Amino acid sequence: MANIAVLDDVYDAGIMVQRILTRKNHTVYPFTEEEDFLSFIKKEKIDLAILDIKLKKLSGVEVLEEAKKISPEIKVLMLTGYPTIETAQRCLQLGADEYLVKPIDKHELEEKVAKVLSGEDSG
Amino acid sequence: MFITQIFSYWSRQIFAPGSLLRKKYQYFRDLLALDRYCLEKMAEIEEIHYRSLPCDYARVARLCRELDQGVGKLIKSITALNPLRYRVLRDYHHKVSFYLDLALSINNPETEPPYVLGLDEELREELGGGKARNLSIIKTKDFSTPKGFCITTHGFNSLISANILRPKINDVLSQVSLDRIDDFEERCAQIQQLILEAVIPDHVQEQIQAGLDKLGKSRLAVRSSAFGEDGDLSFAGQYKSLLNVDPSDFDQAYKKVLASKYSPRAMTYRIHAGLPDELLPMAVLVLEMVDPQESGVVYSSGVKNRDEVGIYIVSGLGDKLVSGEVKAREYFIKKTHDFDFSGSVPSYLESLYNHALDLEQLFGKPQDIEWVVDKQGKLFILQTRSLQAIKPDSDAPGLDLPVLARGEWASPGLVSGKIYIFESKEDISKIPKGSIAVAQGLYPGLTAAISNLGGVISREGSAASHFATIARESSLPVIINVSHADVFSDGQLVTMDGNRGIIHDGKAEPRMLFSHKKKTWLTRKMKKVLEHVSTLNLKDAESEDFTPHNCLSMHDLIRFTHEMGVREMFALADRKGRGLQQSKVLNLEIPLVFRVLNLEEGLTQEAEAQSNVSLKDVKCRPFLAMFSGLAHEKIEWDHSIQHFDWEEFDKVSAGVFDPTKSSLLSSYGLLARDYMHVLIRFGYHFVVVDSLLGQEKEQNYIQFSFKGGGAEESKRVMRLEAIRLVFEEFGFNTDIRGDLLKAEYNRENLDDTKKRLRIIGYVLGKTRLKDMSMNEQKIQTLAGEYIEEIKTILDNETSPGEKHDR
Repeated sequence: MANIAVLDDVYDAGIMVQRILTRKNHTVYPFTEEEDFLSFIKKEKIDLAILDIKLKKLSGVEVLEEAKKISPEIKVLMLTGYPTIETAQRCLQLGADEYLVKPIDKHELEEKVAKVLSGEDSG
Repeated sequence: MFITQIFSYWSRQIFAPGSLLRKKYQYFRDLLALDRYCLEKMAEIEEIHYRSLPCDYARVARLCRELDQGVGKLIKSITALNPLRYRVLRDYHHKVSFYLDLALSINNPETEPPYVLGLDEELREELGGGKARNLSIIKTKDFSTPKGFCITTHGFNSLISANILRPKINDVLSQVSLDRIDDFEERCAQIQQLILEAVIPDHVQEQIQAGLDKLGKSRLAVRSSAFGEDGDLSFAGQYKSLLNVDPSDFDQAYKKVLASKYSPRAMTYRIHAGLPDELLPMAVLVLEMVDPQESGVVYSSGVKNRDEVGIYIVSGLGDKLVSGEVKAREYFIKKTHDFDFSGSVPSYLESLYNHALDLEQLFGKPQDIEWVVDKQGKLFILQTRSLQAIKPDSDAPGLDLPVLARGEWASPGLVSGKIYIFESKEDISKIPKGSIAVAQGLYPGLTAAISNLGGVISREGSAASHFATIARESSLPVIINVSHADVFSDGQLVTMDGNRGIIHDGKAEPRMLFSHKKKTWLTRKMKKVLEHVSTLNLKDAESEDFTPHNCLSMHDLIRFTHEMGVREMFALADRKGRGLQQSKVLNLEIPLVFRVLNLEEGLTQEAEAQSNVSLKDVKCRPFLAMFSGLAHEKIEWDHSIQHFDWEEFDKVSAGVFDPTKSSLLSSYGLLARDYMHVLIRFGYHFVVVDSLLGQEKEQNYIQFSFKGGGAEESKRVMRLEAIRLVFEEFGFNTDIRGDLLKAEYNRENLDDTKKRLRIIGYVLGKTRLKDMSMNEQKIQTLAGEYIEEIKTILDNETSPGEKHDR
């Protein structure tokens, strides 16, 4: 199953994602700090990154851009509470595979993760 | 308007001012009205997809916006009914709303430089359009072309953006309907006017001026070069080209060419091709005019005979040829035989022939080439593009209409119109718009009337003729070699199937004229959009999954809100001392589980003490009227299901049944003396009848909606069609959108309105299981039968239901 890194400034949010996806037999690494996340994906092979848009120092869009530089084949699922279409389009242009809007629904998260990992065309 | 009327009506009659109940009832009425509004919007969106309606994408976007706002209000009204329980719905609405927006969005058009590019620079099609791109390619291969430059698609985008035209254009586009021709032309003209009045932004203007300065004082050809012109689609001849333009008039000429993107013909073509306006920005090619001795077109491979180069020549400017004003000299040169170019043929014919072969090789496809020879005898290539593949659209739907005559297709497409028998050249100017001309042959002169023609049928002719070529470019159906052309008479309504070479009697419905299978940008986009609009994930109101967080589409949100709104109203009845009686089981002689809630004087006073009531306890006038139709003796019911229902009744009366938690109440009615809101479930069918029936004619109304389930789409639509025919016969306004039938009967007197309610009941009873085995013929027969039965009933008897009513 897949290696998944989650970056969300709210610790509990990352843990919740971890709990849901671990049940699907994925290995999930939650992060709250941008630097930790980026240095982690430099070292480890990660299949999927789940990025919140609102972070502490950088924006999720910037992290997405960095992550794609570090590992171009990494799949990315963006996570956001108050989305704008412009940001979403920008993320899709930068290579994000899917978009997930909070509140997070378990089924939706599972479905979208499965879809992105299977390499289907994003919605 | 109506809603407000009803409020004041009810607020006067039922509730004490300011009471909580009055407010709740008001919110509920709001909710019902909004529910109806949202379902209609949704059906309108679905209809575009399922019926392949020819409408602009801007319409889809507008309807989705309206739906989104409607759902927002709907959620407000349920939140008003119970703030704590439903506040979370707002978050889920935001979420669905965002997904929908994202599915709808088109990337913002690029407005960055370059705005002008020389033909010797590399020109991507996205920037220069097909025409300029091809010209720049052949220029680098040393074909001689006139001097010139190209104003890029970014220049167009920049003009639209600087003048803030996009919202205005899309507003007009969202109202466009190809079914209403006059209106359509006016809307096209509105957009064209916007473009003509726009100001070219300075940063674009400067680059254009620099380009013009290089060309000096010579007169110019200003030609469209639209993006997408050269793909599978051919917008050939759809856009404007202006010749002999004085450089000092350039600005206006540029805008005129841009505006031709919104000519009725180009818009019709674009909309049928299922492409949004934003994705086809227009570049413009500016070329120095060549003083022509002769000009024309070359097809590097013949239309039917691939081994033949077709060369068409006219004196002077070639536009006369394309517009069909003059007949060309034609040369068809076989590639397989040596041709004697030394004979009495134009001196440039050989090099034209060789150019055609070279260009075909360069682009790897047969080419359609425009050329000109100047007074010094020098040959210039003005344009080359892929010759439009001509094959009939085998995916196009066949028509279920009688066949009048058969021939061979020369230009594909489907069209309905009136026959015009064309006898002499003088008749050309008399051809009424949209006519299907019947002619002896494909006269070149017909090209002059091409914009007036709907189609052409000819006794003889060839698909290789110049007229047939132009007809194909103009998407004008042509059928040739029709041997029995004398079956036609002037004014006769026929439908041409240019794909199969068949002429049918009668008129095809507009939606039959478009291929349902054709995958376009719009059909792909609509699939994604509908995922967030109409996909129903909350199927079972009884299930644990029937929760806000499982609302993944607008439909889910609407469904959830309606169901909960109704439960809230029923929940009101359970609380004591609030002025509303409890909901009660209505015992019926027909096997239908029905619960009723008395709003005010809908039941007798004696009934108040009982938990089960019978029809004689009901005083609600609209309900009794409808029921007299539903329970009519001519309707047969299968009583075997009644046993199960009685069990349900028992559970209910034993108090097991919690109306706030359960939707076991298959059907229910909110009843007042003059008002009812009734929801009836027959299996998967979902019928809502909302009616006010009183002495005041202006307040009376019936609103009926029927949403079917179960059977596959086409069959559902057919069943709706049968019901619609009956309702139409009795003066209802009806409308079918997707699988929602809506019928209204407004502002008529008590007796007439009452009769219509009876008809509704009768038709519902009759058609409750009629669904799976219908075809178009059966619809007519069935509707006819019902209409006769109803007329007999209305003429001959007074129903039991009516006796309750004075």
